[in-house]
Amino acid sequence: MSHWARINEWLEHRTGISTAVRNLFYEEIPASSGWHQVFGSVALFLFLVQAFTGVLLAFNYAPSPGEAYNSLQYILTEVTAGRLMRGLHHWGASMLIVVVVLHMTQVFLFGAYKKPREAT
Amino acid sequence: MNEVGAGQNEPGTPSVPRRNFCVAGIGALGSVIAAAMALPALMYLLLPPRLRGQDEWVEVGDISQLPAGAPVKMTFRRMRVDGWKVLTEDNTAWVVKSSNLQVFAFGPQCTHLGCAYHWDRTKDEFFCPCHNSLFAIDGKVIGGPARQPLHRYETRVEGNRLFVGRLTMSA
Repeated sequence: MSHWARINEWLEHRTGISTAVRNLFYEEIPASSGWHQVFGSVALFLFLVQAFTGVLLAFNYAPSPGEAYNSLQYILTEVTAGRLMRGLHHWGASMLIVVVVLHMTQVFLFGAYKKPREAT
Repeated sequence: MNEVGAGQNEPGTPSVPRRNFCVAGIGALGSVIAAAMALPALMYLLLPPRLRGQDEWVEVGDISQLPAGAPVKMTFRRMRVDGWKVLTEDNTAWVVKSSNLQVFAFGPQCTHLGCAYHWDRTKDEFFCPCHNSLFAIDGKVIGGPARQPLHRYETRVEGNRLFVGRLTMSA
C-alpha cells in the first residue's frame, strides 16, 4: 500500500472525512440537470473570493474618514499587487449581486424551493 | 456509483477511467484557480511596496562652534514615509568633531538593546546606563555587552553646516 493510501486510511479511520466528502460530492445527478444550476456554486465561489481579498485589503486599509482615501491610494499605487487585489474585490462585489439575482431567479422559476428541498 | 455512467458507454467498457479523468480534471482546474488567487496574495503580502522618495539629506545644524573631541547631542527634524502616512519626527545624533577636524554623527541608540546612551565627560567615553556598555569617541566598543560599534549617519558638510543621510551599520 502506498504512503498516500495509508495516510488516507488513517484519516478516514480517525475522522471519517473520506466518507463525508463522498456523501457531499458524489451524488447521482439527474439527466435533466444543466448549466442553469451553476449559479449557486458561482455565488459561493464569489463570496469566498470577496472574503479572501477583503481580508487581504484590510491589512493595508484604514477605515477612518481622515485616512481612508490615503490608505486606498497607497494600496493602488504602492503595494505590490494591491491594484489587482482591489480590482478583484471591486468586480467581485458587482458580480456577486448579479449572480445572486440570477440564482434567485433560477430557483424561483424552477421551483427549486419546493418539497423536499425547502432547506436548501 | 460506477453504474451511473455505464449505460452510456459501449457495452462492457468500464466507466471508471473516465470518472477518474473527470475527477483529476476538476482537481487540476481547482488547483489552477487556487494558484491564481494564492500567487498574487503572496506577492501582496510578502513583496515590499514601491518606495516613495523621502528626505535623504537633512540639515542638523552649525558645527563651527563644535569643540574637537567633545561630542554634542544635536536634534533635527526629518520626514519619514510609513505606508500612506508621512511623519515628521525629531531625531537626535551625537556629533563628534575629531582632532583632525573630521565630523561624525552617531545614531542615538546603544547597539546592544537600543537604550539611549550619553557622553560621560569625566571619563571621555560614551556610556549606556542600561547595561553599562562603553564606547570610545570613534564609536568602537570598549566595554559592556554591546558587540557592534555605534551606528553612524552618512554625513556631508557644506561650509559650516552639517547634513546627515541614512543611519548605517558601520565601523
